[in-house]
Amino acid sequence: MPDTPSPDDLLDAHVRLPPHVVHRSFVSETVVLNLKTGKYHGLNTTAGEILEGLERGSTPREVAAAIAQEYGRDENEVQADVVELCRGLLERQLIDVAGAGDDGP
Amino acid sequence: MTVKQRPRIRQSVAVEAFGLPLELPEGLLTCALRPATEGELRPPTLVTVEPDPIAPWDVDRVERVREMQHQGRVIWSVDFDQELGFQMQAPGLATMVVTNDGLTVRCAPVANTADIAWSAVIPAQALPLAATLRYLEVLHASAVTVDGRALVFCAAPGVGKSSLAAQLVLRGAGLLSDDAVAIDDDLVVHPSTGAVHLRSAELERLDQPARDRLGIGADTRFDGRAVGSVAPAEPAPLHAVCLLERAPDGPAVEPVEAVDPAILLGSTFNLSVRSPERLLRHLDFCARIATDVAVVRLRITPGIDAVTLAGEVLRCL
Repeated sequence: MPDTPSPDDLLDAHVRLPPHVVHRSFVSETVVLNLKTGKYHGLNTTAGEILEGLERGSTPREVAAAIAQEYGRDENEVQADVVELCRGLLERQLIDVAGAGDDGP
Repeated sequence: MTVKQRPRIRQSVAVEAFGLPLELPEGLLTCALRPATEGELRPPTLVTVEPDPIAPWDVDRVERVREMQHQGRVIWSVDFDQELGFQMQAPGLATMVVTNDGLTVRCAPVANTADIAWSAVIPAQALPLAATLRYLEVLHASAVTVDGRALVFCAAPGVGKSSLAAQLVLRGAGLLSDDAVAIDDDLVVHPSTGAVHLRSAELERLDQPARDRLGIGADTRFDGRAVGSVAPAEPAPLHAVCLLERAPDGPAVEPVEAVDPAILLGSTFNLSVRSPERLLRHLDFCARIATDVAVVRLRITPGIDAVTLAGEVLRCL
């Protein structure tokens, strides 16, 4: 998979959290901590839900569908948000991505 | 010719501070400490005073994890060596080494420096570090007990957490700490020492009986602040974390429904221990406080000083 996957590739990718990344839920925020760098990252509650969905093994497309249904939003819009979030997490090395059809996590 | 001054040989005493059993030379610390708990099974953290200077560590092996400067001069530093532990240096006062297990604190004061000048670094820095290494979390906060429950006051330096704690003690609260407070896995808050530090403006507001109750005598001024000492309170379950701030207006006491994690994470006293285990423990600790403990904002506004705020705290919490 290329360094910067296309939105379609990303939506069907297998995403996992590396062992050095942990997250905890606070009341209105999820804090993601990279144990290698010691850096903290804040996610709002929806982004926290997306991260939890990805951690459970759902693809970004499946997570987007679930969020769109839960909040009654347009699925294409949510897919764009999920792709943007995944790219941000990738840039910060908070998730690993394997392509669709690759071995999953 | 330099004459080396060897420290007096002193007996050790068994005490408790920051949730740790301690063994240290008698009379080394002038502030009040809790006596050791009978039947304590954990090994004590041993505090020793070295007769000789501690040799500098190999700069190629150490990582400088903390450094404070004043007017371009290093006034405080902490170096970390994976095998040896943490070396804390307060130039002109002392060098201290805390081992990675937090069980040993070796102190080497600069020659001819009075105990009262350098030994304050032990409870101010070395013991909080040892407590962190022994699996407690230490917050930069003052804390008191009221009706057997601990109230913790987090604030930036100079906001007034010591003054608020002192005012609460004058109203009958027990003092847990006026600067750094240790909390264990069960969210029990442990006393540090009985030291009370007050800036001169705060001191001037106190009459003599109040100064006496805080153990502030005419001869206890040190480093621009008055230092008193009271008997530390017993450990108590954490009831509320209070975020103390100066503000132009707003209610004196206000519950916080969703605390900003950055505030809790940033309230740690210890930025030196950055192992993955400790970072995870610290995150878990903050998440537990956010979900299990009442968090309250306390405001010092133009119309509210520490005296009034102490009354509001007792009324509302």
